[in-house]
Amino acid sequence: MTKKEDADKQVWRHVDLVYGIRQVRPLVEADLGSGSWEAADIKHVDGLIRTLVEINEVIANMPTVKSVAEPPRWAEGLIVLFGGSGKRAEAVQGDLCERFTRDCATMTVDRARWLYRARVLRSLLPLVKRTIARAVKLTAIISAAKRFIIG
Amino acid sequence: MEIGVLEQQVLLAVMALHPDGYGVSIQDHIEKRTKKTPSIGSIYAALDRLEEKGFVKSRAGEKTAERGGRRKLHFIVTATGERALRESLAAISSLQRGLRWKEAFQIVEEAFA
Repeated sequence: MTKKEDADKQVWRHVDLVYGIRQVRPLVEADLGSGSWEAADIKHVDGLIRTLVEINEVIANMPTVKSVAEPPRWAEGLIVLFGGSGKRAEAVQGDLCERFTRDCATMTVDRARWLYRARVLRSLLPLVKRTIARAVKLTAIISAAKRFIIG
Repeated sequence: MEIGVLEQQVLLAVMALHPDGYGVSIQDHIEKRTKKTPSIGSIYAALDRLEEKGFVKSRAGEKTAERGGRRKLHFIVTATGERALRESLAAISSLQRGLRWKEAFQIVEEAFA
């Protein structure tokens, strides 16, 4: 590996650690003009990332409609109740929340809440069907195992 | 192993969004291209089936304020999934070819009738 390639690798490791390449790469590339740097450029990239982090912190702490508006509790509860458990349930709740937050920025909170309820109700049936299918499969496996062990 | 229409669309979206495909981005991708919006629930049900078959793999992503502090679940297509998708698409395109032949025969038959 050449010195230049090594420097590049180090720069991207830094970028990847803080944000993930996809989000930051276009910004860093636009700022530096090319995809290849000297080792000294790491400091510059670090500075750039620090600025990005600061900007993000400021945005996160801004008192916007986003932080005030919350999706309807009962609809959220339905997803918690029927959406299953674990990583997938968290992701479903997060996705619905993300849609709600985006809607709040483009329309009234009431309309965003109405849309959230509609989305939750549309999502329930497939999730419940999937949970039942999994349970049935698990029961079948357990009973087959029992038959095999007990005879 | 068989793949349904939604599963096909989800697999294609996950491949197109590689490696950052997650619920919302998959839904947006499908909506943009098919003009139909599958619910988040049906997308996750399809992803669950695909993961069970070994066609996709998931990894937990970052928590964001926009998502109420909940993690994203990113998906990538496995080699088995890619192969199954290719086979499924090839079967459909083969069926389409069959249709074209039928139409062609119809035109010839009409011409000689």
